[in-house]
Amino acid sequence: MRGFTKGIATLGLLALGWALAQPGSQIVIGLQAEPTTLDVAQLSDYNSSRTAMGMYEGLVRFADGSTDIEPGLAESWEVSDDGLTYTFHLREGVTFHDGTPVNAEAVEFSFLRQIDPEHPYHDTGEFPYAEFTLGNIETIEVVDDMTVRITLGETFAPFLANLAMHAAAIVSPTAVMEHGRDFSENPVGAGPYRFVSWRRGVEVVLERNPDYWRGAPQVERLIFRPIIEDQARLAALEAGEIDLAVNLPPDDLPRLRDDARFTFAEQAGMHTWYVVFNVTKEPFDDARVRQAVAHAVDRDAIVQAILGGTGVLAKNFLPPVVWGYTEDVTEYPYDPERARELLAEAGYPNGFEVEFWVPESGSGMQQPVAMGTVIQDFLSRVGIRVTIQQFEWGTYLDRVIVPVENAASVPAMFEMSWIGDNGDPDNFLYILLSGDQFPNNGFNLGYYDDDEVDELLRRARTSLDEAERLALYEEAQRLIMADLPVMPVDHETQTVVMRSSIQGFVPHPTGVFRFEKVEVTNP
Amino acid sequence: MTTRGIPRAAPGATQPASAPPGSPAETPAGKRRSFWRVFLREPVAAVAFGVLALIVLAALLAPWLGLPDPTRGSLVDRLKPPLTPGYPLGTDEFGRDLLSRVVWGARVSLGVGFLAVAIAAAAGVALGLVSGYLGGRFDFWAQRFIDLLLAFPYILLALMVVAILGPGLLNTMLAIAIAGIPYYVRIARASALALREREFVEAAEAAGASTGWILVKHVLSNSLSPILVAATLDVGFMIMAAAGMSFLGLGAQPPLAEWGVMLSNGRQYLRVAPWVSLVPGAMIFLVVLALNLLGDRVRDLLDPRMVGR
Repeated sequence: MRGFTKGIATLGLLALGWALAQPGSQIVIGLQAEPTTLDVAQLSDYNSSRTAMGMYEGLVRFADGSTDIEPGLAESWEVSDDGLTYTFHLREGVTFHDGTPVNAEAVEFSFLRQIDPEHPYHDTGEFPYAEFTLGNIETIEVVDDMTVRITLGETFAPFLANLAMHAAAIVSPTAVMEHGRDFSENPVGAGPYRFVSWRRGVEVVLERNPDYWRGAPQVERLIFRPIIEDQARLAALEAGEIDLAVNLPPDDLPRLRDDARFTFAEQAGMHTWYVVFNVTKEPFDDARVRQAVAHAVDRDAIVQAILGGTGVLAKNFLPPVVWGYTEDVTEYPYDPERARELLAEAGYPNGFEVEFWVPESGSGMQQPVAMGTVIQDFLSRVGIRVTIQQFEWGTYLDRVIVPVENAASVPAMFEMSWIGDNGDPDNFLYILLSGDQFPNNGFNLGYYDDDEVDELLRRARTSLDEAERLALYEEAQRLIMADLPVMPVDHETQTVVMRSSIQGFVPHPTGVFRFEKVEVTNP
Repeated sequence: MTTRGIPRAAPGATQPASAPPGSPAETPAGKRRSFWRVFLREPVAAVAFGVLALIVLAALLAPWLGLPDPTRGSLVDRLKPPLTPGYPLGTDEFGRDLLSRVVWGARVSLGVGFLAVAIAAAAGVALGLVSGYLGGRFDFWAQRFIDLLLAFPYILLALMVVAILGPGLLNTMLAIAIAGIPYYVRIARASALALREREFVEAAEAAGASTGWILVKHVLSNSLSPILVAATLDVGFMIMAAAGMSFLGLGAQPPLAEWGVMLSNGRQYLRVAPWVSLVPGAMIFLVVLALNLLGDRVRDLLDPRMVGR
């Protein structure tokens, strides 16, 4: 079997080498799905952002391997004492891939295009992250060619972190003006790689930007290929068709670890996989029922068996890698007896029937159907009779992200996952659980609305005092985990498997791929 | 007898009313027993029949076989290979007993297959017979409707029906049944077109028998053999179609044991635990092969041109 596989792999390599007999180094990346857009302001999923982010840069950016802020296109900046005005000084001599200079007007253009409905290029796309990322901006002022001043409506602690997010990356105004809505297929930024081609359903090709201000990357070409089936992606990796892949089947990872042809890069992700309870619906309007579910499901067994250790058990809704994380919260160990007691107290001694929606796949969803099936099995043991309904990912999102007026159409419980964008607890707790963030403002999909929690989260996001923010977030986490509007299951460990010839690849906590410091050695 | 006219018309007919050989309507009980004996004389058919009978029997008796709950797993015992003590066929990715799941899955898969054929055949035969016998404008529009259905590839049509009705096992069964209707319409209509020119049908008409009576008594009963052959062969096809739809995630929903779903889920573990897919795959293979062999045998026996084989 192994010799056979190796034979196939060798043949595949030979064929690939023959087919792609082009000079220069390249890395072929196996994606889980086709990117939906390459316009940085429109990104909303991993496959698109992993492909596109190498083409762009913002005023500031997250440092390698962390969410610390470091200078990007802005060389330096000042914040006014009241925390409302940010003045950025741009780096001299940087140009976009099309030769357009990176200047204050490009910054103004990139932001206003998203947040100003009057802007002439506002109709060049839908901007799902604009409100969250840039919504606090009151005015943007071009001071001179290389200086831009941004004024906020109210103090907003994670603002700099937001400016490092994808939606705040700076795009070439010339390219947007030229291509309009088609900018998403003709992307131009100032990042280390530039766009070459996009063949739908086949591949996206990027080449290195020789003029990148940090220095040209070593790897000349990046090719992103969508391979939807996990097993097919695994086979492609082993056959040498792709060089780097994520989301491989957990049960196959031990075998790959023993294989000298591959190396692993792992990173505790800013990720939480959770079950949302629709708290507007019986029986989950009762906290005891939600707690009963958490006690009934052996979440540790799910992490160990189904995920094969590619995640860590979630003790809290917030992932440990996000600052402000505390373990001083109510715990829900596996305890079916306690679950039955809680159900009886809540008036369901014989359990109940409930519909449970599950996507077939999806970015950050890990093994959605398998995990859902195990949860269903565990719940059946305490008398909760679960009917699973599966959906294709796009349909699924359309059906579960609905305004509160249509809350009745959302099932009582469903799976969801969240990947942090900026390393701030605000990007988990506020956007996912605040009463202000029902869709379409944010992603509070279960319509949890608690005045005390809302107040804590609101104060925490406007305070500029780190110690105060920390205390507020810790208190909010305690309240949330006691009330349990969602059942967190695990935090995924990003597991990237690549050919051993790839050196220096470090996964980023935000899940995007960075290749500018990567080298490919000859095998 | 209400159709007293028949004996009077019969002498003039060149062929008696019971002419089509092998017509089940005319087969007495004794002849039926010998039919089975002839049927099973062919060893391949006998083996196929035996295999199918065993699986059907196991499916029917599933609740009394003392098998573990097919929907309940033990995560500690996941992906155990066949012949592990306690798990004769091994376990799946949730530590559920595969033997139990295969046996319970047989109830679902076979049930869906037979029911879908029954629905498709009932609807298709009714429409086809009426259409072929009446002819004229009704025939024209009915056939245009069938042409419309036939214009779509089978699976695409079934997918469309599921898209309208929503996923789920019952809807999948309806979908593949609806998509299967044209097949029976064509067979039944062809048969009715030929039969309506026959003397015994004309005789019944001349005698004043009602259209409904003629359709049931003369046209349907004399069309049964090609329909029976078609249906036998179709059960296997429907089982495959249902498994295919479940494989795409549109049919049975977890944790229900259904062969297509089991095959589909096992695919993820093909490299580390091939039996999770192979066990349900082998069952689908066996059942479909057995049904096809039986269908061939039924055709051989009922086809007048092959009498005596």
